[in-house]
Amino acid sequence: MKKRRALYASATLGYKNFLFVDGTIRNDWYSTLPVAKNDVLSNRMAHHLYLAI
Amino acid sequence: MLAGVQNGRSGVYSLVAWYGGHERSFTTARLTPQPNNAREFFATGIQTNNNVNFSKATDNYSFRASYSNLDVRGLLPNTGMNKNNFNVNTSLNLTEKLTVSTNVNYITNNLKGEIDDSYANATSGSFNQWFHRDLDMSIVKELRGLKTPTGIWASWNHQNPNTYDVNNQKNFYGAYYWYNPYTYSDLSPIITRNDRLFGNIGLSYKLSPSITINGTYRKQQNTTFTEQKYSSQLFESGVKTAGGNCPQCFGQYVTQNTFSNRDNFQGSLVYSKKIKNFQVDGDVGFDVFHQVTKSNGGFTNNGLNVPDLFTLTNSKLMQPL
Repeated sequence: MKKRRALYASATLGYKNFLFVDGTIRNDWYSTLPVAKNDVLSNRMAHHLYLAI
Repeated sequence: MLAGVQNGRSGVYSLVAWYGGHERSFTTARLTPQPNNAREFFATGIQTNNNVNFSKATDNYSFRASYSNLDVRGLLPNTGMNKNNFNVNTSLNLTEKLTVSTNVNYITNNLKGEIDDSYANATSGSFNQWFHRDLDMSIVKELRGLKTPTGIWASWNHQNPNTYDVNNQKNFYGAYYWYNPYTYSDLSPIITRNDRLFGNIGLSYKLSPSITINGTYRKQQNTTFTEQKYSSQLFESGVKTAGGNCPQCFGQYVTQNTFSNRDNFQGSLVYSKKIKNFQVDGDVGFDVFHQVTKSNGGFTNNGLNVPDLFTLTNSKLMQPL
């Protein structure tokens, strides 16, 4: 049996509906990885600028 | 053997003329090209889809139930598929703040026939390399049930008449390398059944106008059963057919079961709020996932001891334990 556990958080901050910043952080623990180091941390950051003319 | 034997009169003995019991037995015919015979072998696929569903929704609940059936007749003889799909989708507002929702699907799928494009398979694996372009496919189809009095299935591919031996009739009448492709599929019933259950149940609670808490359980379970019954008559009607390219031509039983179960338990807290010029969205959550997959199966080797008894222990060669 394979197991995976994960905790994550993500957030988006928008300013006046045209400038956005978002990020995610997530940690996964896998039963299939060696016990000494069985987790993987991943994160993502992005920012968007929407221009409408 | 080539297309036929010249008899010096009105035509040639066709490949099937050497078998008694049909209207072309022991007669000659014109040697006529059949440029479209390979194409004529493939039937037109037919797909039928039927669906019925019921739904109703009010302020406090929504409900939808549906059933659909997909039936497919394949391009190859004795092939097809039948799929049933049941789905129930509901959502119920228990209170103003608490909602429970479910989505359940059950799918059964029955696949029938040998669907094979590998080297030297009984159909597409021969038509462009070893088949004859003078064979009228409608005659090949008509003679799919033809047997000699000693029980050998007729084929278009047999040895020269001078190999006939009254004590070893298979040497001439048997399929030398190739069976009648229709007869082959009649002697090779194959089924694969797949049962799949998946869905989820979720609770959602609105803690405040900007905060919602969700909890969801998801599950997917899949079981399959495959059974391939290659008749011993393939071996009894074949000269050089059984071997590396066709282990099933000895007569063979192949079976496999698989089981797969996956589930997720997920929880999250979702925040969404507009503060002056800013819009803030965020969530934190967890996901616990379990997966189990199991399979077992087996096949007989080198033929069946008792003809057409389809069990693994009936294998001529047993695998060491």
